[in-house]
Amino acid sequence: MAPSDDFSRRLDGIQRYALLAAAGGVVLCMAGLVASPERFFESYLLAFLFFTNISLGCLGLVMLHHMTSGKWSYSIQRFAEAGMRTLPLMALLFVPVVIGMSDLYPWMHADRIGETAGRKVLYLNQPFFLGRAVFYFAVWTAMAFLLTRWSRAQDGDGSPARTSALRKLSAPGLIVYVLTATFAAVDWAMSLEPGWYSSIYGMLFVVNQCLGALCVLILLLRCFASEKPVADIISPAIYHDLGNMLLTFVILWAYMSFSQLLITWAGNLPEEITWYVRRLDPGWRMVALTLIILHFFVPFMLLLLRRSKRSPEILWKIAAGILVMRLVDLTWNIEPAFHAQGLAVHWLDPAALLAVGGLWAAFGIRMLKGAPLLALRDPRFRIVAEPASGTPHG
Amino acid sequence: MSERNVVPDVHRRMKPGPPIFGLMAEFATPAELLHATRRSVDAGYTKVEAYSSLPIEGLAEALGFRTRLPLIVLIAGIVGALSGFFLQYWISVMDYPLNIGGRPLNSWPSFIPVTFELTVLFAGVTAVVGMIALNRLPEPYHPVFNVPRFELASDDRFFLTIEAEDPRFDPEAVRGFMLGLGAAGVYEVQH
Repeated sequence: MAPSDDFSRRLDGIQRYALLAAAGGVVLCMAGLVASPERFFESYLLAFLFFTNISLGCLGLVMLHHMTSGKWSYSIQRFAEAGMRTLPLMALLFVPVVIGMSDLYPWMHADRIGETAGRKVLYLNQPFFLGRAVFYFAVWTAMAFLLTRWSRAQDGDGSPARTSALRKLSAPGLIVYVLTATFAAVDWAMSLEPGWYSSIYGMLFVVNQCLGALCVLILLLRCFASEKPVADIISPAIYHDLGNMLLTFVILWAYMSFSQLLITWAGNLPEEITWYVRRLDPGWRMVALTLIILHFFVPFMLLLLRRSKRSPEILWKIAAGILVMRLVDLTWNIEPAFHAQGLAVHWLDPAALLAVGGLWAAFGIRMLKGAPLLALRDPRFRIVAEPASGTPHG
Repeated sequence: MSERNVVPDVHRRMKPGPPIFGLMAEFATPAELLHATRRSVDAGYTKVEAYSSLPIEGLAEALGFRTRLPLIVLIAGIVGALSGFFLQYWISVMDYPLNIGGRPLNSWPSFIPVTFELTVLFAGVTAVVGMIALNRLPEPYHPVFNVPRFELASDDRFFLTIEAEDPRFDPEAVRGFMLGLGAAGVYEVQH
């Protein structure tokens, strides 16, 4: 079944808005690049990481879907596939980060960093950093490409062999994803303060990626739930499952963020504690408190209620709120590395988000075209989509 | 002799109730039970109960089942969290203050794990005990077991009772209604 013309037109409309936003963002970024290049690269890194995280979370969730294949994950599979196929675009958008490297990463200047960090130049040096980035993007793009290609080939031939091939790729793929995302998090974000280290940091990034991606996928599902064939299977039970998954990731975020704080607090070592000292400075402290309340307590309490998980109208609002908090959390994680003194938000932050986000959304929407919104010919899909009460088919 | 005299006494003291507990219908599939439950509630019966050996999606909603258990568990969790935190606060700040590595006495991040554990412990134990208590278990006697076929409720049969205390209960009408729902059998449930 080909997607209807109506649906294509709807996608075209969204794509046009996204490109318009991107164009506006790029113009503003150009102005910022001339006015204050250093600040531009800081804002750009934030925007780049925010959207790359969502793309990578989509990659993780697609592989998780192939390993578990519940009815709920079929409902978001095609959206997640579109999300992970933006990874080649993100590779291209990594170029400005490379250009701004010497402004962003203190380890580019051996004289600026302390003795502890100085010994890390064996790992933190420009050629190796670039080589690793190329490697990460190559691995991610290859996995995203194969996962989509096989799934779409199955739309044509309905062969069960495709399902087992997808599983065989996803099992080791999940391990590769967690490892590469951990290294990428260390390279791109943790090394902004090269003296500091935390062993849970990479895993925390992986959880953040999946949480952010799940929020976007819930929003997309809510947006396109009326389109065939999604409309045929969508039910409160699916939203309930997605809500439970969201709750899991919210708890996991809180658990890991707190573990990092607790271990640092207990150790009380100068090279570890400085990261938190910067982030608990007046200004940033308010952001930290906001995160505890709005990134954990409020969504946690709301998602405990059955009603808010079963109603798409409530669930999408919670997902949107968490997505905003994801941005706040990432800002709190990244920006104090550059601005220890007080809360530093610049007009270039939203400008860079607009530019990167617009391109990301336009590209992702393009990837949504050309395939039905469900993997209808996957043999396992027919099993999970069968009505439980045994009512005859029309 | 004396024992025989007691028996009529007991009968006289029992409040005059309906002669039977109610009527029970037997169904072969969960779907039939769910359908019959919905129809009975729609028909205006209020004392309806369904029996199944497996959870059936939508059955609790069809019966209009309400429980206070989530609220009780929430309160127990909050009590657990507060007692877990203040247990440590009392020891570390009030009863036996110790300077550990120059940290403040109210070193709250290190109090969180125990606070969390006690929250889960209180909530978990309350959930199990509360569930048993609200179900009024243990209950050594229940009239439904007077129906011999009811043993199959823990095997592959599904039962629906409409109790005689229901204001709309009329034995003949209920029997006809149940057979109309496709019941495989309708049984009188003795007290």
